[in-house]
Amino acid sequence: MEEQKNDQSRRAFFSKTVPAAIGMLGVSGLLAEACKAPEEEEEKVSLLAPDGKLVQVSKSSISPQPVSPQEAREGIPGKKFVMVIDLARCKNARQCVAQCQKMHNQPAEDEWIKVFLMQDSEDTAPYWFPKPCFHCNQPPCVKVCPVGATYKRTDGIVLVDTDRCIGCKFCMTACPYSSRVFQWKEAPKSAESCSQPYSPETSVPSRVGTVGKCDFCPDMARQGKLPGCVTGCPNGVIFFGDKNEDIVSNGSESFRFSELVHDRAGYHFMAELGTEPNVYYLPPVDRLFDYEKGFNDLSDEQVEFYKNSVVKKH
Amino acid sequence: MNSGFKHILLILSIALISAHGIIAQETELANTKLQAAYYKDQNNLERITAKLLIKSERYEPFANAEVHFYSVKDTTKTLLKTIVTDEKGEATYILEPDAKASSDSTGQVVFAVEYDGNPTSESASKEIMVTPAALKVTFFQEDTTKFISIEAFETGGGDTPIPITETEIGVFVKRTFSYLNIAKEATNTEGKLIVPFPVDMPGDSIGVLTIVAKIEDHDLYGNVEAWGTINWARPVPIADEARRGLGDTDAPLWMVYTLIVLLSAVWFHYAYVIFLIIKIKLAKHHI
Amino acid sequence: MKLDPKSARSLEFFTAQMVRISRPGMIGLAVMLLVVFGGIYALAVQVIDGHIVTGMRDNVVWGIYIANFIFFIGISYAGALISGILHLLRVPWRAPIIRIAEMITVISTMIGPSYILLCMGRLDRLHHLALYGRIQSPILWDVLAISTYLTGSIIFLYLASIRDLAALRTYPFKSKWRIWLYKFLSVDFNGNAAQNQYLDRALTIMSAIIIPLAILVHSVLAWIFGMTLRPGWHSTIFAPYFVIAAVFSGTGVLIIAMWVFRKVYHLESYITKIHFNYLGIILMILGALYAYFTFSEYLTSWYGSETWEMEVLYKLFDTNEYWWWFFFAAILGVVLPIAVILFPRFRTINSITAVSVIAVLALWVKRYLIIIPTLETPLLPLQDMRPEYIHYKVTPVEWMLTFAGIAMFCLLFFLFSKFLPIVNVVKVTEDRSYGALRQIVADRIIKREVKAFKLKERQKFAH
Repeated sequence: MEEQKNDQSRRAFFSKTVPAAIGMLGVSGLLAEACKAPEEEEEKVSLLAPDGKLVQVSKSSISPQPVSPQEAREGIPGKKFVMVIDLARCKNARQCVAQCQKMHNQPAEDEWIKVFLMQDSEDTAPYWFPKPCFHCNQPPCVKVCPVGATYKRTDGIVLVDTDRCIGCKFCMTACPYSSRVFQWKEAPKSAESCSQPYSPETSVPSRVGTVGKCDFCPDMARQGKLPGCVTGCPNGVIFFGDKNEDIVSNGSESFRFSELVHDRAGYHFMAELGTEPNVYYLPPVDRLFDYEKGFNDLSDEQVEFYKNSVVKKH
Repeated sequence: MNSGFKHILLILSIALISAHGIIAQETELANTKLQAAYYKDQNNLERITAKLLIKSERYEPFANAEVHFYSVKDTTKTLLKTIVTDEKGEATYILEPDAKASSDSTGQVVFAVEYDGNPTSESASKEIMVTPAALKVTFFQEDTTKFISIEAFETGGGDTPIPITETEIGVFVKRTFSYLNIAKEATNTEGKLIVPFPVDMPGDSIGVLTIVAKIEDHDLYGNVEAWGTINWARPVPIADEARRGLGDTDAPLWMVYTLIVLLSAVWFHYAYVIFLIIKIKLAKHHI
Repeated sequence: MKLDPKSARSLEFFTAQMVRISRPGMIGLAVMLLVVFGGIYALAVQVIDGHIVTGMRDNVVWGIYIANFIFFIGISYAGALISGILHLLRVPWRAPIIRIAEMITVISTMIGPSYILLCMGRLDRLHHLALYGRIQSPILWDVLAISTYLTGSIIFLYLASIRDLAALRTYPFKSKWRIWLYKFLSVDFNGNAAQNQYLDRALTIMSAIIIPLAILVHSVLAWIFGMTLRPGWHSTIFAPYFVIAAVFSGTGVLIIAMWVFRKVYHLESYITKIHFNYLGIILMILGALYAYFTFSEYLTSWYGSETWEMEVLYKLFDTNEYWWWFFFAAILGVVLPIAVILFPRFRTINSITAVSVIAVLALWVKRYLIIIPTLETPLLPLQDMRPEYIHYKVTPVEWMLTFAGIAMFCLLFFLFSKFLPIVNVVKVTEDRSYGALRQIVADRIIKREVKAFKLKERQKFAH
């Protein structure tokens, strides 16, 4: 199987023609974005006006216009976004992943939020561990970025400006939590994502040769909406909110943030690294589901793989 | 029997079964269900939200279907509006002023929402009766203790509002992504509810907090909401002074100075060496 | 500049080689060009298809390119430290080899950083470093340090060549561009007292400045890894460890280059066994230092046995993973050079060169082992079904670009040697007339005589 794959890649490699070599002289031209101006007439949608009348408007005019680059760099004034993930409720439904990918127009292989199967020791029980970007207060990725393409905002969010990113991948080696994803090839883009003007707040459309990651959906926050992973989760695992307002919500329940992390012994994952994450975990005590429920939709091969990868045995 | 004949039989029977399936689908209409709720907000803006569901395996939102909104008065139905459901199966009708006035003799306003059905799905309808009501949120202080006062009353019965007694009201703090519930209690005999103000709750930079009172899913009043603001909460200062650090835009000063010193020391020497090379050229006539 | 007959004769010897290319030379040139073109083709494939054609993926985001980068910057130490220190200490036997050392520095400092460019996802945004550069990032330190270092190395090579350029100016070349270029570059140097004084001053400044600069360049490079919170990288001794490894490999490459040029240009009378012996001893000492650093690095992480450090260590010591590479890079590649050079009777020109080849190869593998196993060990479990995301595998594109870099190194070296004599002609002949080498021997004899005399005196006195 692997042999065959290698063979294919080799063939693909050698099937490139010599003109390619000449073509490389126009490097910048080749790297032009794959998005082209939509050729069809702009899509119209019906919208309910306040007076109850339906009006026809072009679709692009209602999708919220992204904020200015300056605002996208500074953040939403007065906010400090936090996330609380209740490990007792997760059963690897993977809807957070699916919703995130849908929202950011991503291919299935790019996961900005990942769900790991964790087991702290051979004697303890495994549990599912959803992991977005931690949006650290001492972000190692931001420290090392040579061009300021990834930056920390006043509202606590760490964003990537893929217009500025040079693709050196230093941030990926600096991040101890494997939160970052590189665009190794030009991803197929939908017309919708192309028509959208780029903003670091929406992270759409993606760009080849740059780094992407979970952005805490600041574009949604500006509309007072929760991030995709929060609303996507069927079990209310993920809570999101504003630390300044001292509240987190999973869409159906709201708690005072300070009380929740206090009463339920919230903790930081690998706090010893000194990164000061803005994502808190509630320990997987009194779990709602047996962890094996998370294997329901997986193939035997995947289950075996997960089981072998949890506790390091030496 | 040879194997070819067997195959033909098999194919035929499969075709029969599937054909039966198609016919069955055409004859049996899918169940539909309509839900409707009445909402009234702070600005007295009223709306009716209908949600249309269709049953395949279980009830799911039915998008792109026409839903009619009617005003019902003494058994006469007047069509207010026809709205197409969105992807969540929802259609929202915002009441126009003339629709509001049409309360019947009992002081109740009656609306009907209908779905006509189509060749594959059943029709559905839902009627809601609303007694117009309103809420009022005020604040007062006794000694050092701060309170929220909520008044609930019916607005349909002429000039004097009738207090709504013994009715459960939810009190919330408005936050960016949701409302945080701080109390859920019934009004007293005067139609009033008094709850302590959450003074430890953080407000904005000057401590302004929005308190929301709600009657939720009530048989008579539907959903009624009102809010009030006051600066009694804990202020959260916005401290965003520019910093110089490893993670900031500007580097720590010691780093800037070190870099300048190191680089200029080296490049000064390069410049001096180039100066020496020029001197070599100029010194060609020396002995 | 007027040359004495002796110098003129040796200049003749080199210029003859500079203007013609032998048949084996032509074949070598053709092969190198072919490999370089292969690299250009591979680069085109990478630019068009994206980095997907490399073996790098989200965990192993840096691969063989970065290993090559460290390797080339490492061997640039040959010129910086060896020729800088030898010049500062006025080591008498340095003259025939410092030109080679300085050329290694300049060429490898030009090739090394191009591997960083190959690793970059958006080459077209290189100017962003100037537009938005943040000095908090070790990458920016690296950019500043390497460009400063390259400038310094070029100035140093040029200064050390002025006397030869002046001599070449007097030589009747056939091609006009050579005459014009030598005339331009020799800045009318004719060897008068004032000019000699200025030149010596400039050389001393540059040789002094290039040493701390070289140390800083490799420290900064080490810090790119040391600053991250990764097992196997987050180490305080990384900077000195990289520096020592760099001088070790630089000395190795210098010995190999000396051997090659000695054979190709018949420099047996210039580059002698003494040079191989002395450089061999330096290589041995550096090898011992490198072994000491390696031992401290792995001993402390093993003894502390922090989870992730152990993960990486287990990979290095696992025979199914990296053990044989690790054995070659950290044990065989150090023990063998030390063992061979330690015993005078094993020291021959060929044996010293052979162990240098082993040391250089070992150090290349070591750079690979610094990068890949660490990146294959993220702090979170590697729960990915895609095998290419778990194990890094060098792809044909990456190999082609790697070999293209080596070919480019040889090609540039070849071209340089056609433009400047590979040996510092004027200095060598000057030294010879002063009998610098003979002086060393004479000094030793005198010392021994004096010692014997003193001993005799003392014995006499005792009686």
